[in-house]
Amino acid sequence: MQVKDRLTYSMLMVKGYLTRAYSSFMSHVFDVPPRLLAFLCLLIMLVLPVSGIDLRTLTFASVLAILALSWDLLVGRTGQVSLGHAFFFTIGAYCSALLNKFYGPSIAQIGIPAHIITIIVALAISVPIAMAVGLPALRVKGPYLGVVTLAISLMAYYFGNWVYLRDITGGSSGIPVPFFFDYLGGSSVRNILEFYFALAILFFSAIIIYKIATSKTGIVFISILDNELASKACGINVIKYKLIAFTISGFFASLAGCIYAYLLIGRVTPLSFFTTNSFLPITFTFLGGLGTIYGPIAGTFIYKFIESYAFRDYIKPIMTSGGFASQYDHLINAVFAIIIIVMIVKWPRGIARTIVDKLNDLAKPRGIEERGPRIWKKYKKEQKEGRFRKIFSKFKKKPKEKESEVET
Amino acid sequence: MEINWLEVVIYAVVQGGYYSLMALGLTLVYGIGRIVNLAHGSLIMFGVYAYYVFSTILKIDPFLAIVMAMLLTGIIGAITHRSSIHPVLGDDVAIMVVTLTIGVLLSEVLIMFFTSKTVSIINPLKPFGHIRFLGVLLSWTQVISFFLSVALFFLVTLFINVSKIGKALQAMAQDREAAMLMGINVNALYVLVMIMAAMLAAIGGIMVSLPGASVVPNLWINSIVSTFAIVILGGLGSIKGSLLGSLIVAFSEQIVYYTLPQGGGMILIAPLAVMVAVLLVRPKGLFGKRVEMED
Repeated sequence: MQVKDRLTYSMLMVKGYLTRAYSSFMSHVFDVPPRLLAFLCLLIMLVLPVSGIDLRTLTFASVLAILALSWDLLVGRTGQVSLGHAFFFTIGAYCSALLNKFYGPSIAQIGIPAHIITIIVALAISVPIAMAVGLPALRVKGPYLGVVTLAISLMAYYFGNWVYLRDITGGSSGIPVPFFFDYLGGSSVRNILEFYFALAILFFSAIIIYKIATSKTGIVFISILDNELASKACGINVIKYKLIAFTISGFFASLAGCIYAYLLIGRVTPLSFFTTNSFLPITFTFLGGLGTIYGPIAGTFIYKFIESYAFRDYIKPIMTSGGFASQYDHLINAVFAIIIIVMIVKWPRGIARTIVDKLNDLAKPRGIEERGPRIWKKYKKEQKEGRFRKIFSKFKKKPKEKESEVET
Repeated sequence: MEINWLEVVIYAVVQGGYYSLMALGLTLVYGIGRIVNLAHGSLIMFGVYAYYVFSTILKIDPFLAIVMAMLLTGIIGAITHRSSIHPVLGDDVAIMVVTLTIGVLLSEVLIMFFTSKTVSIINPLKPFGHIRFLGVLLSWTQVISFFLSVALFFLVTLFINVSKIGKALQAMAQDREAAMLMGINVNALYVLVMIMAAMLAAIGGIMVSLPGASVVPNLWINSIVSTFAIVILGGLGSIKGSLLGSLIVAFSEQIVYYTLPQGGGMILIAPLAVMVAVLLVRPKGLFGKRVEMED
């Protein structure tokens, strides 16, 4: 009996330990807002009937969404304006491409795919680089910081284009890099695999950024956004948290850049340091909604949908037949610039954020009498209440006044 | 390679003259209206392309075309201010994003119409030929536009310091709400400042591109780089600082051009590097206000 008891006891203990570990693990992994999960599930469902170029559009969108998320973490949560996010986006890819060019063959001799190793090394390099770019942020504020980040990205652009270093950086034509799933050839499996790979990375980065945003660190970020002086007065080490924000943002942006280069483009060029690329995450974030997780992701997908199903399918054929094929990219940038100006001036909350707010309003419990034509009922109810309040107030106030007189 | 330092200094001073004019508009807009106008580079580019359209395509007299280009750019500046910058005044992040977006919009539209090829423009001062000054070869175009830009610079500073509107602008720079209470029409002055800045941008851009007699479609980003480097070096909003900053930037550009191997493409890295270095030492620029008066 005793042995059996001990056995069952220990079994129960192990089981309890395992369930606790499991539940804590699950709560850490899946403690994300149901909206985000639902949205990502929707994306996975969307893919099923899609193939070819439409799938590629989705892949592009899910890679760029990571960039938008990283911009939003920096700007929407700590209020440090970065107008040169293309620098972070491209520097990781450049590092890995350079490593690949010079050490790739020697790594490949060991028998490990060289580009995966170089990407990991390049991401490890990009963290101190992002910290180094964040260093001006400790002293420089507001407009100065925006211009400094813009300047750093443009410096990288000119440096990449320098003719003197053409043997190393490839000049303006850049460095070719190997694709991730090159061994699959041009099969349709490859497209699907690429999409799921990009989506998985988007999923995990979104969860990690959500975790950071809802943790104590994230709350400190928002306090810095609201009032830097007050949070300094509360004993928060503002410098440390600003640097943390820069580092995390830079890391995710360079992750996005690496995947963009290795999964979709197959080449790293200095042109991706340019301001039009820094302008992309701004567009995505303001389309979706600043300071949220779902905003940048939704904004990126909206952008890509508009771009591919309105412009690529209808306007591009017209332009190519008219002989204006080279102006197509400029047209897209100009049209989205107009959209962003209108959005910031007239609709600063963004599309996704407005929809989510409306859904939250609808989800609130309401009484039975509020069903039906709500506005009319509400109006009537208010009118009625107001009338009654006036009548009752006459009766109610008088005895109170008398009491107070008695007390005095 | 031996460097003729006299040549470097003279070229730097001449270049600094144009730059001071381009940066003056930006300084005015920030100093008076607290607007970081990232669309300034695009306004410069717009001015040059407007000059190209008026002088080459419509065949108007070049000097008249310069004035017309200035006026048109001024109108564009006023429109951008009223339509998109005015509604978001007071929000630093929104202002920067909106102005950058306007910059991208203007430049992309211009590139769409004029393609991404280099366009050659008419230089009305070309028949005057060249001059040797202390043994350094200078064209009369450079000399005349240098003196013109210096004259314009001092005219604008005189306007701000002496005239009644200039006094109102100074009041607005110090305290916008107090100026409003004193009966100054602040919104009209905003538009006036934007028009002035856009016109200065246009003429500065035309003068920079006259000696080379060509416009490159990257002009907007190149001029954003140099003007912002100048203005931030000197401290945003300080006219004295922008004058010094333009000389420093021009000098650093010339040094990079003469010392680095194949440094033609690297010219624009110099002002940025100087700017970042100065900001790390003095976060508000050389002549910026040291006292922080935020919130």
